[in-house]
Amino acid sequence: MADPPSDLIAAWQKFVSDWEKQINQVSAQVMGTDEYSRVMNQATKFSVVARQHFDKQIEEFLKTVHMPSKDDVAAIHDRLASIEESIEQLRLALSGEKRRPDIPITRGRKAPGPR
Amino acid sequence: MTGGAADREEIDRRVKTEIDRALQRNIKGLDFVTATKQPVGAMAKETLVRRGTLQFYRYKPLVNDVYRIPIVIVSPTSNRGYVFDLARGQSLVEYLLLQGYDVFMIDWMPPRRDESGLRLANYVLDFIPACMAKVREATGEGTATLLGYCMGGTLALLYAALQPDTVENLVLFTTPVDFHHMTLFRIWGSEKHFDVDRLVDGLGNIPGEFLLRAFNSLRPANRTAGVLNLWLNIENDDYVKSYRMFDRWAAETLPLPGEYFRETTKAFLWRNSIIKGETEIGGQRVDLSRITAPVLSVIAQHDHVVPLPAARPIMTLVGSKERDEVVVKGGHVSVVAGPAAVTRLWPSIDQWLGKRSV
Repeated sequence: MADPPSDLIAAWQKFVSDWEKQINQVSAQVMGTDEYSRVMNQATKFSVVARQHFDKQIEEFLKTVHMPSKDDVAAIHDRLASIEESIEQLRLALSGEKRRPDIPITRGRKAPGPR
Repeated sequence: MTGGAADREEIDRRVKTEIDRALQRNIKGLDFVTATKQPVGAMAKETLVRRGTLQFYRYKPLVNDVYRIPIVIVSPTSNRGYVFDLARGQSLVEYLLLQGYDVFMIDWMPPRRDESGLRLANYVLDFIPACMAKVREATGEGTATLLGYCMGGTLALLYAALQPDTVENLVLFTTPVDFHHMTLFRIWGSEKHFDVDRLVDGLGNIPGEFLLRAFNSLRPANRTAGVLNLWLNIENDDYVKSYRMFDRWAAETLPLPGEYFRETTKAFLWRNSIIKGETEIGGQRVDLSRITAPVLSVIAQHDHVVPLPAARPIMTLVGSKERDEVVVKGGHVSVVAGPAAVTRLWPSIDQWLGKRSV
């Protein structure tokens, strides 16, 4: 006798797979139109403008309450990153002088014949 | 015992089994939800260069006698390179090291704000050459195999066309060259509707979430179906681990430097400049026919990001006498790290590359 739970799982997997294909197909048709592109880009444009406007408002508020703005924090982050990078470059330069391979490497490996 | 009682017992047994399974799923599901990031990156490596968005590694060789020609992996600019080194047994890097290659990797980090001005020229004429110089310094070899994936492959191609003498072989995974066939990206990013200048001028670097949304929109049902399949396989630890690694990789889609995004959108999506031979980088015209190194192009049959026809023309554009194309079953990501890649594709890459690496 067939095991009903396995059959159920197989049927469910097939249902999910078919559903996935259908949704992808339909959405590719919808999203592949010039009209969709226009609407999507319009929405992106609005969200960029809204984000800029929101960022500006928040920036002004933070300035008013004497708090560091996102730009200030980002500037500190960039400076820290560049200091970290300089330290890393010094470390790499120093370790480069002392670098020894863990195992001695030769570069004479031959390709194996046809398999 | 009567037939009715036996049936009841059988039903009881099945109900109990299903309840046990459901409980197990819930416990495992809870583990999944509360788990920290899935660790990735199996192989030991040493950082050779760290400069802003650029990181360059050398993996520790696993054998004493390596092939003369080293391999330099060029990761896609929108994603981390650890897709090549997810975990033991699921790592192209590990496989190549075990076969005796000396492996290096160009990996990209999220660009800093002050890197929003990076352009294609920075990648092709500065980052890749700097890494090739490091390879020369570390190995004494003046040439290397470049192995690029997606836009990493495109960068490798552009570099190879401008510096053909430094490239011994080119291995390209799902590398777009004919952007006319990136249908949805081309429509969404059309010059008519997509104001790339406003976007870049407004945001600086293009956020990773913006790119991830675009990637997900190509196949909007995949994510939901993936979660449903995960739930069915939640008791299978290997399945869950693999899901989490790919999920992390996708979620860590990188921001792109604004100018690079502007330039690639205009040149590749709007003008389809590579296939027309009109790409200019740092004032130099890029002519792919200058590439004479052997080329292996790996294309995925069901790739929804770089469809087959977007990568196919590589074979006719390069000037190489030895050029091979392999079309494999699978999608954009499974082609580099899926089960079929591990068992079938990687050995055939080794076979192709081994004799060209001595």
